[in-house]
Amino acid sequence: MFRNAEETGQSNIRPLSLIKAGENVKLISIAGGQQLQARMLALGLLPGTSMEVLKNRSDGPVIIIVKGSRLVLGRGMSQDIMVC
Amino acid sequence: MAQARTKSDQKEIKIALTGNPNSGKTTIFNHLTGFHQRVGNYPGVTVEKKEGLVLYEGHHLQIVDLPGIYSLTPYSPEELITRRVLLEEKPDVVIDVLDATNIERNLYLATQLKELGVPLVLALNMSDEARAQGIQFDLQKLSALLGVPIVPTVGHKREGIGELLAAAVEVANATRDWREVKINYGRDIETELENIQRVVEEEGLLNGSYDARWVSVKLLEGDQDIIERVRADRVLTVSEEASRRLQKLLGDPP
Repeated sequence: MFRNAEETGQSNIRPLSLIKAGENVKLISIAGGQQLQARMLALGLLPGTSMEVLKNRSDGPVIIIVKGSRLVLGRGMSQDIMVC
Repeated sequence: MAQARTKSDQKEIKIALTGNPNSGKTTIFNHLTGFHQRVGNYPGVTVEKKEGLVLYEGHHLQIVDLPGIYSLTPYSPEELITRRVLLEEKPDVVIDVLDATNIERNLYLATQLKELGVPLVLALNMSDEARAQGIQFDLQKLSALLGVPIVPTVGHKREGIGELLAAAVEVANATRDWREVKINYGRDIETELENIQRVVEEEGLLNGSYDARWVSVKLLEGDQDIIERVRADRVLTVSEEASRRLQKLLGDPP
């Protein structure tokens, strides 16, 4: 379900941590372990899920809007979430 | 209303409230118990479990408010607390409070509760806001699909609270035991699960108070809490081997 970014063959894939506020992106894959993948699933973040980045400062957490609710993701987490 | 007093009329019923953060558990808890626990319009207000006792039509109800969680996977301390309360105190019925405006994410926990086998009632909370957003529910169909009663509620207006309590008491009285729902994971995973389950049963792990199949599923998922508590090398070896085989076969960790 959570393929590696290389396997999906899509270009322009970046970690969520590099997306600027206001941009709309789609989740491609989770480059983390079993624990992080289970967590993302529980939060409703699946491959294909659309999200808008609300806030992203280079030194803090990333705030996104998914299906109408705001989610705050830690910096480390956001670096493992691949989007395009 | 005249009612024949049966044994179940006097028994104490333990009701636990679960749900995603900020879905309205404490608001409903306060209505059910008449307490004034602090509520807030942001997640994480309840950080420990709170209990209240209520007399309801001859039943002594013990109502437990639990911290908000997204899943039963023990990622956070709140999730660990909730799971342990559910597994070790075995409430007679669990009310899962759903935020109706975010039903997809909220139903994930509901399905996990079903898999655990807890007697369940769903409170479709914030149903007024969902309606205002144009979200409509086919409650009959949803209830039939999930096999649980669903009661629409509006926590802050007290709507549906009486119906919710009645549904919870009915489920608690009708259900004698926890009945685990067996989700079929497909042949490859089922074969491995059977292997693990056999060893779990032979070793008599966790005092037999946890369902052996459920423990096997958690071992296969690499659930750290269960792995630490199982502490039987034979079981862990079997489940690790199974996990490796499945990862090779399916490409993803189980």
